[in-house]
Amino acid sequence: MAECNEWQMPQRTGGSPTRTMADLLFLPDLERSLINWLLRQQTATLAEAAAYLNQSEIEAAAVLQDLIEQGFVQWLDQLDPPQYQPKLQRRKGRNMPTKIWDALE
Amino acid sequence: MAQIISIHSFRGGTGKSNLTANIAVAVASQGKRVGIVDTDIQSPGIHVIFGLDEDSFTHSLNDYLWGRCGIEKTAYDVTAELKTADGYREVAGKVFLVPASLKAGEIARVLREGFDVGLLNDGFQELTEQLDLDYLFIDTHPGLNEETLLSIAISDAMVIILRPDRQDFLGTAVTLEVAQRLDVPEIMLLVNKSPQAFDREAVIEQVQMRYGVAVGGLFQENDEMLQLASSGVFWLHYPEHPFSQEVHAVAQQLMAASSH
Ligand SMILES: Nc1ncnc2c1ncn2[C@@H]1O[C@H](COP(=O)(O)OP(=O)(O)O)[C@@H](O)[C@H]1O
Ligand SMILES: [Mg+2]
Repeated sequence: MAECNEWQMPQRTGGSPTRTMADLLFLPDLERSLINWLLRQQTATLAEAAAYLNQSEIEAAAVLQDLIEQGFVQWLDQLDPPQYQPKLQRRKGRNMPTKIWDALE
Repeated sequence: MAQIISIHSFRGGTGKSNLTANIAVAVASQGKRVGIVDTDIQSPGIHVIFGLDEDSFTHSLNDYLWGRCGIEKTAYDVTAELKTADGYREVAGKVFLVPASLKAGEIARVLREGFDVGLLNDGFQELTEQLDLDYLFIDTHPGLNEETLLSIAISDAMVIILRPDRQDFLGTAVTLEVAQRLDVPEIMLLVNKSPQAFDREAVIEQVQMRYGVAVGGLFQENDEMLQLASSGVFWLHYPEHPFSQEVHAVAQQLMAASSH
C-alpha cells in the first residue's frame, strides 16, 4: 500500500490555510470526491450535497464544515438559498529576485 | 450542457496543440459550436495554428485573469479563417478561440504573481453559456500545475497524448493516477508521432495493456505535418491523409462518448 504514504496530507503549521488544486489531491476519497463534484457544480446547496453524498443533511453538513475549517470550501450564506463553493484559489507566484522580474516586464 | 474536454500530455512537444486544433475543427465540421482555450499560459501558441498573431488579437486569457476584461472579450471567432491548401474552407459549425499571450512580460507576470485559479473555472462556464458552446476544448500545460489540475478536475472527458517513448510512458502513468483522483468520467489515450516503422496494432495493444485505458487513435510521425509547421489545421490542408482520417475518427468517438 505505497499509496497511503504518498498521498498523505503534508502537515502545515500556523495561519489560516489557503488551499490550491494540488492540496485537493491529498484529501481522503470521500472529501476529495465531494470537492471534485463541487468544482463541476461551481456551487451547491446543503440538500444537493447531501443527495450527492447519499447522506443526511446533518452528516453532510459535518463533512462540509470540516472542509471549511481546513480551508477547502466556503459557505456563501448571503445567497438565498445559501451555497457551498470550493475555495481552491491562487496559483502561487514564484519567489525570484525582483531584478529578474523587472527585466522581463 | 457543453462538454468540457481537456487535452493533456505529461511532456511537451507531443503534438497537443496541433491535435487539439485538428480535433476541435473536426467536431465543428459536424455542425457543432466549439470553443478552444489555451490554458498553456507558460508556453502558449495554439492561436498560431489558426493564423492569429499578437497583432491580430487585442485580448487574451491573460487579460481575463488579471481582471482587465470579461472572458467573452477574449474569444475570437476563427471560423471564417480556416485555411485549406488553396483557399478557405467553410465548416458547418463554429470555432471560437481564446488565445493566451505570447508576450514575454505577460508570461512572466503569471509566474511572478500567480492568479486566481477559481476565475478559470468561472470563465469556462461563462464562455460555454455566452457562446452557447457544445464543446469546450482546453489545451493544457504539459505536466502538472494548478491550472492543469483544475482543467482536469472539471473535464467531462480527458484526452492524454503520448509518444511511443519510455519517458512519455512513465509520465502518462502519473497523469492517469491524478485524473483518477480527480474523478474524470472519460479518459482517452492518443499515441502521436509513432515512427512509420512501428506496427500500429502492436503499439496500440502495448499501450492499452499497460494502462488499461482505451487508445482512441494512433498518429504516425509524418513529413507533411513537419512541413506545415503549425501554420494551419492539418486536416484542412490534407483531407485525404491517414492522419486526417484518424482525426475524424477521434472526433466521432468524443462526440459519441458525450451523447450517452
Ligand atoms: N504526427 C506528427 N508528425 C510530425 N510532426 C508532428 C506530428 N504531430 C506534431 N508534430 C510537430 O511537433 C511539433 C510540436 O507540436 P505541438 O502541437 O506544438 O505540440 P505541444 O503542444 O504538445 O507542445 C510541431 O512542430 C508539430 O508540427
Ligand atoms: Mg502546445
